[in-house]
Amino acid sequence: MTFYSLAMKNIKRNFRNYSLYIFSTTLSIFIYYAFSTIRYNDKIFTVAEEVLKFKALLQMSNYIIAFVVVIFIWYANTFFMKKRKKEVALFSLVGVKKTQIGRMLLIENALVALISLVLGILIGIIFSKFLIMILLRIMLIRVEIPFSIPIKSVIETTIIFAAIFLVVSVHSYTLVYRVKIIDLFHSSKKKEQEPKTNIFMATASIILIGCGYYLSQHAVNDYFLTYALIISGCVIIGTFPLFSSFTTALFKYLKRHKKLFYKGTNLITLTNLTYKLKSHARTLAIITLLTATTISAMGSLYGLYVTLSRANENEHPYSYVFREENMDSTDEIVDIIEQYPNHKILDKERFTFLAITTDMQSIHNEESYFNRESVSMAYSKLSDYNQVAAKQGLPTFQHLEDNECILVTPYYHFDTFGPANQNQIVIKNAPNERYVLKDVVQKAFLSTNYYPFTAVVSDEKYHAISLAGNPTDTMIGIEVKNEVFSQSLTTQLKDYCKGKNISITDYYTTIRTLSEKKAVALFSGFFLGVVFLIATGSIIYLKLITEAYEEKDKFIILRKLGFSYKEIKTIAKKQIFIIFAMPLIIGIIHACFALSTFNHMLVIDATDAFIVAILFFVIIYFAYYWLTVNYYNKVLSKS
Amino acid sequence: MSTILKTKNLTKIYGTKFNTLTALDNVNFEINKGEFVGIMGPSGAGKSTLLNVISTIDTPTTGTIYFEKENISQLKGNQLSDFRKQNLGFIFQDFNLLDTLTVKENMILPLSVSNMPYKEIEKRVAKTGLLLGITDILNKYPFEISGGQKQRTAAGRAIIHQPGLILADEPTGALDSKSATELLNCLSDLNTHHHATILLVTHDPFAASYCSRIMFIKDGRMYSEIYSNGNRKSFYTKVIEMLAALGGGIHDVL
Repeated sequence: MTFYSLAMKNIKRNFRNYSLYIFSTTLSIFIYYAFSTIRYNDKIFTVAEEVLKFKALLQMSNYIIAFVVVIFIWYANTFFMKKRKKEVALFSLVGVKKTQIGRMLLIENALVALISLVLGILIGIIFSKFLIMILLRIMLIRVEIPFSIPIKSVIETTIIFAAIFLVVSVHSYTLVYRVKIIDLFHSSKKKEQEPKTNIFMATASIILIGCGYYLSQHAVNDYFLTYALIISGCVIIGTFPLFSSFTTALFKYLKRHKKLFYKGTNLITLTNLTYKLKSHARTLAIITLLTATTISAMGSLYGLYVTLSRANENEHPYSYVFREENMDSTDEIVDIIEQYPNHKILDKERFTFLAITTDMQSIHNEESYFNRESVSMAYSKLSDYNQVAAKQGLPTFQHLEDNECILVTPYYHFDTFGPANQNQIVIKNAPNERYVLKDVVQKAFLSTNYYPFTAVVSDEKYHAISLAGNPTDTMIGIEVKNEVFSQSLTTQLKDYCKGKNISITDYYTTIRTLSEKKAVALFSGFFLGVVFLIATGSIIYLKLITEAYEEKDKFIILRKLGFSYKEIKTIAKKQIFIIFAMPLIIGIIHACFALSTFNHMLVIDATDAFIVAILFFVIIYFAYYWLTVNYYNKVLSKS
Repeated sequence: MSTILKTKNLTKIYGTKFNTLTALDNVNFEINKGEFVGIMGPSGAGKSTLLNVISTIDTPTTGTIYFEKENISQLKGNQLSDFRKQNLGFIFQDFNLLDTLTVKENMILPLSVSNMPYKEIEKRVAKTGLLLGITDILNKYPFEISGGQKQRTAAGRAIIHQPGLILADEPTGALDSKSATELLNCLSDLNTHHHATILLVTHDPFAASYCSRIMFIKDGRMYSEIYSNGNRKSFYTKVIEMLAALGGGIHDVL
């Protein structure tokens, strides 16, 4: 039998273990390849406008993937080696040279690497077009991308992963030399001593994490960066003793409650967990932090995406807003739009505003909210407003007093400014003209590009102010169908306006630049999240299944004592569940605090997005739990 | 005296159709409540098979086992493990203690699964600990105590739920002679003063001499049976003679 066939046999025999490993590496290679394909796809960059940032982000993502994969493969290999220590020692015992054993392991590793690479790139080739289509879709670009296999990507992916596999293989090769034959006879017969409780460390971990949580709720101030640094420091440093000391203390405390401890299988579950959590403390802490990072990253990116889309809608209620002295060109503009049957005119409004330099103040002290710099506000009359509001589903108002106004703007933050009726606006050149805000409508009137703030006053008052000689401004807002995909129409309208000296703002351009940025962030955030998730899931899985064999003896004893197979399965399941659940739950709590800070900082509400991110994470994580339990059951049923 | 265990034509055959090995061949015997019975026989005689079948870890090919009139060879799945939990106590050669539990926790393992109130558990631990002389080491871990103490802990675990029958499989096999004597004294004490029924499988004539009756098996069949007259020394000699007559047992003795 040659070493090659022996290695082949080993992989076949250990296929269950290798399958998950190969699955994880394959998926990472696939994602790496897909990113690299996008990076090398020139077609995308001819249509996307934010090319440079885009490429840098993808490059960065690729680096991170490679880094995570290095850690993951390293971990996995160490586990495989641990598991096969006996095998290596046995080969040594029958006189196989260590170099030969090493060579055999190298062949095995090479085979795994080859299988993962071929599979990963193959899947990449098949699905990369699909992924690019998804990316373009969220970037709101409609372009056909032809199927292609960029040789550059294939080569890059192969080189990077071959190098990773090589480094790791060399590492496991050296492990062969550290295996002693004596280990064959008493390998896992270690003395198990109950972990000592370190009350100081346990308390410290709680205090540190508590501090981090507390500070995170007060972090949105001028020293945000310093705070962020202190908070992450506290939480990261606190998480490690949380698993190594706090859980030990907690379980010891639980053990003292005899009623609970002596009940059913709790006795075994609790003691086993005390040992396990202690010995896996570092891994669990790392997994907690990875979980927290992944969820926060995915949640905040997705939240940003959703919220910005919503905000954009609020800032641009109309597809196009034109501004011209007398709006003589309206008919011509309508003619142009009518050439596009896809973009039917849904609504067309003509408005006249008064443009007045205005300040906003609190009614109690006269401190300006605009840092003493007044802004040019658009003044509109109530009847005009109500007409639009009815169409757009905004609140309408029956009546306004002479000293009242309604502020229409997406930029009024109740957190910062306080309730509406505590504020007033003051016309700069006529300090006696003040209007208390009766209400705030958080949407743009026409387009924030011209006037971020619009003040609505009663018709009589409007008339009075207009007599004071304030300049008027006339605009036309047109809403068309399928505005998101109105590239050619927009280009034509822009060209037309340029010639006529008409000012135009459009929804399409704004949403496009925004969505490109967001789309790339969302896209790479999501796939990075997936890679992290695979890595964390696989690490716990491998850790637990290597233990399954050591645990087996324990379960055989219980079996002999009359525990039923079902009870033993329950014990195993409970243990695995807690080991999976603890880092997940703590990670999610960490993430929730991070996300609440994030919400607070950007004054948005991205809760839905966070829930989606957490659910996504939990579901995939649960798959790993299920795999582990299955594996345990297989091992246990053999005894 | 009432019968606690009775076997009827117990037969166990291993292997396939064409290549069979009869480990037990029509074994019939009875054990009464309060007896201290030994089973001896050369290697491969079927001692372990017999014990496995009695303890319901293995099922007989044909024949029946009655435990207090109940046919336990008919039990299945959960009934089996419930039966084992309630009625049997095990002592093994290699102790089979869980390294992660203290002496006390190891002992209360069978009680905890039967959801006994913790106060009652504490009482039983105190009593059993005193009986076996392990009160001082209750909070120690298995790696901190000697082999004899370990086996006494295992004995404690076997008797704490007051089972009808204690099955001891070579309990002195891994012990030095002093520890072995201590353990046997404990078992003997349990038998005489607390009326525990014990079934002891052993190679060691010295250990066997503590029994009140010894059954010898050879090639899966009942070979003979001897009773003790209360004098251990003369019983010991009888055992040696019997083993010599049995043949294959000689090398186990020397």
